[in-house]
Amino acid sequence: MSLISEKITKDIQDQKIEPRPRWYFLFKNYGILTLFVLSIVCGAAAVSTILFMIVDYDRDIARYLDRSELKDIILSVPYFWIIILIIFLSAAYYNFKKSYTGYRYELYKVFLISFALSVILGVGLYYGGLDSQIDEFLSQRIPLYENFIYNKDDVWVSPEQGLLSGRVVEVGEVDKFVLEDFNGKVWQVEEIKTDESNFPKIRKDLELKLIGKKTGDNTFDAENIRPWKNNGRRN
Amino acid sequence: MPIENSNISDMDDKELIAISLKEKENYGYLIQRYEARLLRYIIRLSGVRKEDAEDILQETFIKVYKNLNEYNANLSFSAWIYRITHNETISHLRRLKARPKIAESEDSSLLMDFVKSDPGFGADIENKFLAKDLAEVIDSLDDKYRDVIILMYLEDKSYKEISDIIKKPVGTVATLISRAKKQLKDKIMKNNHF
Repeated sequence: MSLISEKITKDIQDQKIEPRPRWYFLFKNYGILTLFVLSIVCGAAAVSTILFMIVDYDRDIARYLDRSELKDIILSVPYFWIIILIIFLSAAYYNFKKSYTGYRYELYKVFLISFALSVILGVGLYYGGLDSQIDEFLSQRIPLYENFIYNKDDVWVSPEQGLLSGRVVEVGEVDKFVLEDFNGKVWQVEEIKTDESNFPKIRKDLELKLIGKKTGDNTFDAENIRPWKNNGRRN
Repeated sequence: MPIENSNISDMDDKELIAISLKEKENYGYLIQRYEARLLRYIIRLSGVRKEDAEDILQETFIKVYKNLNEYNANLSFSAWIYRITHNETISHLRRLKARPKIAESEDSSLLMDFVKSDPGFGADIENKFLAKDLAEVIDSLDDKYRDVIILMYLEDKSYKEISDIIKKPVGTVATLISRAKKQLKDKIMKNNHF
């Protein structure tokens, strides 16, 4: 053996240096892989929430709120979730690159594959009904969350402007029901005219959005009734 | 139990790794197989004195030994050990806050031969342009370009091996090499060496 190899092997023996066990590297590699998968799943959650927000946004109410169409479009973009998606895609990319041979793949390929996986999974979550639950969960648990997103509760409790929303607390005689809005105020609602295609069957505890006219302190004529969630996709 | 010397040359790197993991002493054979080329690579990459390069080499081999179980056959052992050597050398230079330089005149001549034989340069390089001038120009390149020039021209590594050593995609390596050649040519022209 050469002098260098003798010296190094002697040092290794004298200092009792041992190779790190195989499980250490397996754990590290699987840890990186897990973080990559988690990043994709979180990205998918962001995609499903973006889809939910886009579908759930009522484009026809801008005229009731005296907004221009441009302002309406700008307001409807779920910026918060787009930023979250970008953050998780970046995290997925970072973790993939940290894997044993992840460096072999070009940035755009890794990014596109991560994005495609997030979109496929995100669409699955959307149709699985997890989209609005994520939004609701964060609204209830994270105090500042609603400051970062378009808050439809505020928009839809504007009776002076013809918009009202809330939960049915009592179903009365034909075409009449009692609704408690999301600010806790109780309204007597009369159905004047409805769009049949969007019309949900009124029952207690159903959450609704109403377009119509305020006719008194606590009375409202509803010309259009739609379910609170997803423009009638499900109740 | 150390293996007979006569059997060592028949063993491939994976077999040497396997026997090194079983018996520390056997790691010496793996060191022996790589020490000369890695020592030369460290000197080429950093320009440090031989004694300092040996220190870096020693640290490198100890690190390689500690991480032997990390190696898997998805890449060649040569690329893997070059990568660790590359990283250790760069870390060493960063600690010293030193800039690398091509030290060996032999390397300068070798580089000159390669550059002259490269269709992108050959016709432009005149005889009055000396090997040491070229070494100076290469030393002044951005580190990322200098590294790939050394790996390609002096270490004779393929794009794929360079990709595994510097942990960049092959396409990026090709771009780096192309830009390195362009920067090299620009610097030669700018320095009025023609």
